[in-house]
Amino acid sequence: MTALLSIQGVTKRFGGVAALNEVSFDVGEGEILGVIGPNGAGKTTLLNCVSGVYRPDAGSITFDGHSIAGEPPHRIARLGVGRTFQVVKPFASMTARENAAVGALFGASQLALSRAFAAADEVLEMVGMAGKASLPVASLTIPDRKRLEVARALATRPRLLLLDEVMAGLNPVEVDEALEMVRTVHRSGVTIVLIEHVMRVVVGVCRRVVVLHFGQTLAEGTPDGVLRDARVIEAYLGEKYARRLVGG
Amino acid sequence: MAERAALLEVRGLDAGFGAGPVLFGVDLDFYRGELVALIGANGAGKSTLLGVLSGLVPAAGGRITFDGQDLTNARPERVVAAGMSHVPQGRRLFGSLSVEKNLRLGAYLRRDVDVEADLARVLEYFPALRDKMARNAATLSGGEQQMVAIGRGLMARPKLLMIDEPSLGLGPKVVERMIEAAQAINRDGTSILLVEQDVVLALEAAHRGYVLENGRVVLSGRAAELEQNPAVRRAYLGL
Amino acid sequence: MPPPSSETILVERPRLLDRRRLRRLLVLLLVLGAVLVLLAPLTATDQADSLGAPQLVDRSQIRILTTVAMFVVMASAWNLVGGLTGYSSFGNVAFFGLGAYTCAVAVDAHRLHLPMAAAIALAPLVPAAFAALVGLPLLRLRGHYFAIATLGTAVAVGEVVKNVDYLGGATGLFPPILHRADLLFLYLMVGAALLAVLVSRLILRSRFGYGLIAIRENEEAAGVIGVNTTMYKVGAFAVAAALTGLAGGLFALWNSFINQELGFSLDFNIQMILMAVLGGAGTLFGPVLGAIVLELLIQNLAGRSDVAVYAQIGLGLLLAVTVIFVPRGIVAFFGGGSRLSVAHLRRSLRETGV
Repeated sequence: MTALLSIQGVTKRFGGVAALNEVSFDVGEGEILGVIGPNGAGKTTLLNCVSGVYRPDAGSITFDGHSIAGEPPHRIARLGVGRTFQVVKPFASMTARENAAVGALFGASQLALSRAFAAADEVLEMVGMAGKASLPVASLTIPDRKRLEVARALATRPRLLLLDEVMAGLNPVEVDEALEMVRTVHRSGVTIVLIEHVMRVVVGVCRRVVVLHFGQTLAEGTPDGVLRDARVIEAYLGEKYARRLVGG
Repeated sequence: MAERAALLEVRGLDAGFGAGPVLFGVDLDFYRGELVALIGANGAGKSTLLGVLSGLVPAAGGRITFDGQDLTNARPERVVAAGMSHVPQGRRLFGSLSVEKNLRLGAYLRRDVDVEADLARVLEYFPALRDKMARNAATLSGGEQQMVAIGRGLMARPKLLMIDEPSLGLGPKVVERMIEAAQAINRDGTSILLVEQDVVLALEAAHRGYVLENGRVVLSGRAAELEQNPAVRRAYLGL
Repeated sequence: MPPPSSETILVERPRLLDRRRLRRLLVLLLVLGAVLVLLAPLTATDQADSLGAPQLVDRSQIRILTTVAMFVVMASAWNLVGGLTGYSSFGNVAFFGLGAYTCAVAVDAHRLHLPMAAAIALAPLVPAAFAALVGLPLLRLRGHYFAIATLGTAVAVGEVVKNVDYLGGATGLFPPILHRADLLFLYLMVGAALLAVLVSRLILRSRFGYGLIAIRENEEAAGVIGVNTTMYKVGAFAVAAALTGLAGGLFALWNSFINQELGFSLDFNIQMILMAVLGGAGTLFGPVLGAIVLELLIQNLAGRSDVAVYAQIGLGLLLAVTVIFVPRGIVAFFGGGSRLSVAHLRRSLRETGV
């Protein structure tokens, strides 16, 4: 399986602190990769480097054969990388449909305005927001805004979708619904990298997991393997949680 | 068991703002020394309820009685002075100030000299903060920030500490430490109202719980019973 | 117990039919009124005289209409950058001045000595080029910093112009006076106004327009969606500069005189912003309405020196009140062009604690 995304020796410093230090791993086409680790481990920084919000100080990032490290965000989006933000950033004065339509206008999609709204309806359907297309953002609940964020990113027709803590603040039922959404998106052919703290999600949907700690890769492997790793338990999971996961 | 007077009594609380009414006739009783969990879906009104209790959100109707005082629509300063302290969702620290300043600001309203003793106590609950007192709050990790937020709430020497979603965006080990700290604080005498998305965590730590749905209290009872309640299990634990 | 669902907080209200009909009626009335207003000045011509038609408008009214049209251009242009893209420029008058001077230099017998039509065609180009040049660094700034930087730029350009002999120095330039050209300039300026509105409409309903609005709503999100934010911002800036420059060029010819004070007037600068905001920033007709209402107001108070001070105070208060209570402008009141309505005003009043 050829790597769709290849991260090699990526380093990013802020002031004197290395938020990322020689991070390397690959993401194969069609995978769902989980990225976990304590806060401050560099997960969002990594996402920002891949999506072009930050320029890495060292290392290389290759997507679909193109070198994207240091490229501006819009060019990376055009190549087929979509992402959501931890704190959602909707276009507040627009409706849900318009938000998604803007995605369809740009990114890798580049649809004409006349076709963008139909495409918007399609992605809204995929994330489970079919009936809410004409609602203004202000009327949407938090889970729905997260769905909208995913829809908008999907509308850009990405080959790789980066999800930043999409499950944060959702209760177990809402997590289940969101999990279904992730599976549906994956089935449509999108490779997914997700940053999560909700382990149930990681175990439920990721084929591989990378653990970041203090800007470095601590462990890498299957969810089961990684979550039993003593170093991961020590640094991130805690004994009680590990027992809960493994036992349940 | 002797009839206990409730520390916090909420009757028929209605509230809402901007987009419309959020809470409808909420009733709550809170006794001294308890750790009570408040659970419910997103948008059910949990944060709004805490906001009304702490005076940040206006109440459209109903009454809030705390420690014998009527605190309905009281200004936030009065609420803190009366002994209710609010640790808001998302930490909301004073980012450009140091950890120590953040903590001391929590005791802003107090005139007594025991602030030093309380500062020491906070550091006992959260020893990880000891060597970070001079650092800017914004440079701390999420977990450390949550500790500062709770610590700041404690510095007001509250009778009731309200904590809104401490686990948000934090890894499991850190959350575990947070809940343990909350339980320790509770054992030492501070009553705690815990709003939490992680229902298992919340009900394991609490004595009692309230379930909020679409702005109404639909269930209440002992935490252990709620955890076994089939409706709760189906709706919130996905079982 | 029903499972908690992700219900929305607000249920979308079905649009009231009569509101839409009311809007259509209003637009129709406006269009009819505009047509009448535009044809009326024809009664001032000699032909009309010889036909025995009554003169409906006099010279001063024609001048007022021309000025109103000029501000429609400038307010609509400002709206592209300030309203749509969310970058409040406090220096658009620089483009006005540059357009005016370009035109004046172009027609000047001792300088370029070009025919008027060529001069008018040039007027948008120089400001647009300037905008593209300074836009790159300027548009990296946001909010207050951008406002101050653009203001500084406008003042600086004005000062430079004042010190260049080729541009008339402190005296200014004197395009040839055209006799009995009031009607000509009225229709030229109205033509420019129509152009500005047409351009705005085209942008609003294009990918470009959506991209600009996305930048305004959340620039970071717009970037990762794939909007080339730099190019779009500079593009909007250049289009606004071209339109504003056109207005400036026409002004210079109409007024037969241009100097630094007139071309880089801070009064004009503030007025175009006020008009766009008062009328409804980000909408199509907002700047038009704002320009008409405000300019007519200003013109009516202009001659009366006794109320001049009160007029200034009044305008200032008007701006403050607008920003606090009706931040979306007049257009929002009638639900035209934006989704808001009196209900929103009531809500925003409640929220501001009134």
